Amino acid sequence: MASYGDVRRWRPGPLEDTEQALKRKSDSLLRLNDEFAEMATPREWTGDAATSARREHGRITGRMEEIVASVSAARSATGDASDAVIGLRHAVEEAEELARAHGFAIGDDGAVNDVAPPQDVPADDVDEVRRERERIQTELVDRVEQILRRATDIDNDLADVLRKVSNDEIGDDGATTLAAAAAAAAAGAAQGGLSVLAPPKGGSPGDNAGWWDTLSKAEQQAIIANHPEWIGNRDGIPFTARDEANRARLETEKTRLAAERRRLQADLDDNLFGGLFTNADARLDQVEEKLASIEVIESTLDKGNRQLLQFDTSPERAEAAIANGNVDTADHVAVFTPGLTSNVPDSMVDYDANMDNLQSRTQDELRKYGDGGSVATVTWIGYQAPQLSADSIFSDNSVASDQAAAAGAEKLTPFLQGIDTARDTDAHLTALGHSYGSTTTGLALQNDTGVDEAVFFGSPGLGTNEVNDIKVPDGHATYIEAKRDAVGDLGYFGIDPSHMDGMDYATSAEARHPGDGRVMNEVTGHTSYLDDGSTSQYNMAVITGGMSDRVLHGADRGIGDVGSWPVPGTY
Amino acid sequence: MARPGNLLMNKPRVFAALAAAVTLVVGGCDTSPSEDDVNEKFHELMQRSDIETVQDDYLALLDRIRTRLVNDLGITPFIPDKEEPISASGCPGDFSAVLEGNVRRYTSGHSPGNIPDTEWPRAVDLVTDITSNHGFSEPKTVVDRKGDHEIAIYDRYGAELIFGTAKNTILSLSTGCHLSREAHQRGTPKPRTYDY
Repeated sequence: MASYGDVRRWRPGPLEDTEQALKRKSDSLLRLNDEFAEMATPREWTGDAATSARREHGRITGRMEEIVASVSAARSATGDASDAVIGLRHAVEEAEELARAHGFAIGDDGAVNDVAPPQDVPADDVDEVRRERERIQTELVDRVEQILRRATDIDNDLADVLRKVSNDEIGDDGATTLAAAAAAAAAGAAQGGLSVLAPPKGGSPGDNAGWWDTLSKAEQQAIIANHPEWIGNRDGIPFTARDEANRARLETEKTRLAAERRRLQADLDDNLFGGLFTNADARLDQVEEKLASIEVIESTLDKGNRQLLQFDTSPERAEAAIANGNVDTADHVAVFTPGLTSNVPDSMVDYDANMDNLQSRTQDELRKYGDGGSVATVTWIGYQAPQLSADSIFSDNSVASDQAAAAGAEKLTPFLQGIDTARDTDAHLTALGHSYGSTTTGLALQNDTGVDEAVFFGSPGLGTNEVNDIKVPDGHATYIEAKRDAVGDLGYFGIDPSHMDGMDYATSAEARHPGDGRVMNEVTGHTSYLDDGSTSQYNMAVITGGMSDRVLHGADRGIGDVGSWPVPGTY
Repeated sequence: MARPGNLLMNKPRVFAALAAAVTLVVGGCDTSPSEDDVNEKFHELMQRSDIETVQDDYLALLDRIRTRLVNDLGITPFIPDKEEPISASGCPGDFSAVLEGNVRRYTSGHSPGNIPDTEWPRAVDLVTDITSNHGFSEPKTVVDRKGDHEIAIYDRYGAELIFGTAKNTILSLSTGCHLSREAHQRGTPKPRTYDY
């Protein structure tokens, strides 16, 4: 197996030269084919000598076809290997650049060494810098692993083809005449093609990014066309590619689900008792919910400037994440996780509109006061948020249990990690969590995700009592609670965030901006935080845009917060 | 990492679970719209122009404002963003049940630099002179301090034009909720294909 040091020295040039030499050989053989065909025995020539000559002519022809096929196989394999090495070199360069930028070095043995840790880090930033460097180091280890996996794959594939050539195992696909030499060449080329390496099983975002970067552009396009299911929901893959793959999957899923719907409907129609003794009616409901989800997703994508970042119909309810803007290139990215009752068909339109408003408000602020940076906002309904049906309330998916939030956090965590991992430069990344979605977000952010800002609003608890468990830079976890929002006073999944030491509080009340004097609208209750023109939306916009100095602070504590005050020593 | 499961151990769980369920149900975030809701909102939107008509009007409006600001006040021409100048979404809030509802947002990018304080009233007059012919009301002052000004102007359907100046000068417009042209011509909501 090649070492990382070996792979670092791999170049496509010698393979390209070999491929060209083989091409010349192949062309020469095909020319000889033409000449040899013209030298065929004349029809008028008969007798034993003529029969013997024709037999010998046929034998030589057959052998030539085998040689043509073998040369074509070797040519195809070296050509593919040359392209693959270009992809591999790109992956090596990406990894080395990432390592250099963060003070690491990758040794010839593939070890990731900390060679230039940052000096003079302010005391307040030590934890954040350590977390970020650990995240990068883990990503580098994953990338090296994938580079070596891909290198081994290329090496094995090329060796396998060359062994077959050497052992005369390349067939001419049944070509029997010299005129079929071109077909033999094509058959050989097909047998010489290298395999496309499948993604790593259960790969981390770093593994996935490392794998994707090792592929040539042609291989990446082939995967989008032929295996979109490999990458549509694979965190760490660039979102432009995921979007393309998921749009393709929308079509195939729609066809599959429509067929399933017809089959279930026919089962029910044929059964005297309908769905009384079977699950067919419940399954039909689920299939229709998924088809309705696709309809809403398509309608949202039709608005333009969207990316379908996640799309999964395998759970009970369809899951999807849609971005307004380009997550691969935006300077600022916000990911919003909604809570109770959110599902794709009923919630996506409204939340997507909220996110479009938030993107627009943030960009206005950046244009007017900031650097004019670009913004993308994401509606992430990527988990099975609890619903209000009796089935849901009394199940593991109940809003009274943290299980759905914990399961959601297991998906949200790599999704967030995948954003910086997939990009050339890190985004300024904000996680927004509402209601039960704030619990999901709170649990996700207890991992290293690369998130720079967290905004929780109307939260029944963040899955912790300590703000220090939320792994964002100190002073960048913000809580907003509106008046008369009883959910925000529950303190059920951890203490009420209104009482967390170290939490930053932004207001939702009517407020005059102390800096510029603008007046913004109050929101009350549990469901209006994202209203356009509201104080709470403004606060989310300036945080998303990296302008925390413009946040309007205030805790807006009400009578409910008195009741939810945690008693010291009881938590 | 703190686990909420452990945190819950400190509470009377049954009572807390019931309280949480009831409170979250009362404060629930979303519910499926009824067909009557959809019909009522659709009918309301039918009284408005379709989104394409509105867009033609507003793009021309923005173009006139930008041209006048550059020609009359001598501000630097607007530089478009690298992103799309038009974004769109469904309608948030009450109209979200109508799948064919549209809100569009238009940005002009930015004009580098600030309109001087002494010129700001003239700039506002210039803008409102044009917007008043397009159904917009009187301007609302959003920001008014030295070197930093902003107004917002609304129409009766919730369209909002923002015009401001600080480090740069900005002009953007978002529409209210309007039906697609196809839906407007059809006159009835497109039924959802799937009932679940």
